[in-house]
Amino acid sequence: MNWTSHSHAASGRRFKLRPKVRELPLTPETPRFHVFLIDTGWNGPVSKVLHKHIPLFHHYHPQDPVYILTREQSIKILKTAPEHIGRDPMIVVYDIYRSKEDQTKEKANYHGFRLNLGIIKNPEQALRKLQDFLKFVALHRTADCLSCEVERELHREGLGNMVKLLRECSEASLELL
Amino acid sequence: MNEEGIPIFPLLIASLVLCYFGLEVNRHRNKLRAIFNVFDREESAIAAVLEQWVESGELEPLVVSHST
Repeated sequence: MNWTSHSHAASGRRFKLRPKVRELPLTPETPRFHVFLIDTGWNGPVSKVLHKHIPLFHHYHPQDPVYILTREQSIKILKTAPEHIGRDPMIVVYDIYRSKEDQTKEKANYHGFRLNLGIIKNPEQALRKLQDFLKFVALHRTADCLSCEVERELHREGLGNMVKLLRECSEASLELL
Repeated sequence: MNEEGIPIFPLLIASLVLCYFGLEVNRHRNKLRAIFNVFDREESAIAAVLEQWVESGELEPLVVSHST
């Protein structure tokens, strides 16, 4: 099985990556996302893991196109958002649908969600995050408000971390006392 | 009147633990959000470039070709 670049022009298919307001209800088969891999190559071991497993996105969601940016394209794009330099490899899941109801100012700029794996130094941890990310996409691809789901996921993970911290803190304070 | 006074040492330890806990929670929260978050206002410049590249065909999707 090989990964090859596919020409839009040759297939007569041209994607338009503009947010749309959906008219019909979303189904698991509805093409909804465009997946981008931005990688300038800072984090070699994590990049290796990511490039090995990125085809899984296609296997789980063949309706969503996957794009792998070259190093030059990645550098060019991170020049526009320098706060992300050093945080790549980065997976951007661009959501073409916005919630019909939720058009508040805060969420008007919603474009999707992202995973910055460059922050993680350990490839095994990065792989676990990638698995969680893929699971998140699969579980919530029909969600009306995906930004709400991202918030919920962050709260859930935050609570988990807090419990872990509480345990560590109580153990440390008992040792001190 | 309380002859023993306020137990300073346990209070000090408790406040230190609380401070540490607060700082750690904040650190974990920031790290979590730096790793995974919505792609919104802060990243709108990236989104604009991606939209442009996809529309112009400069960025093309990958397809899996099954070779026998």
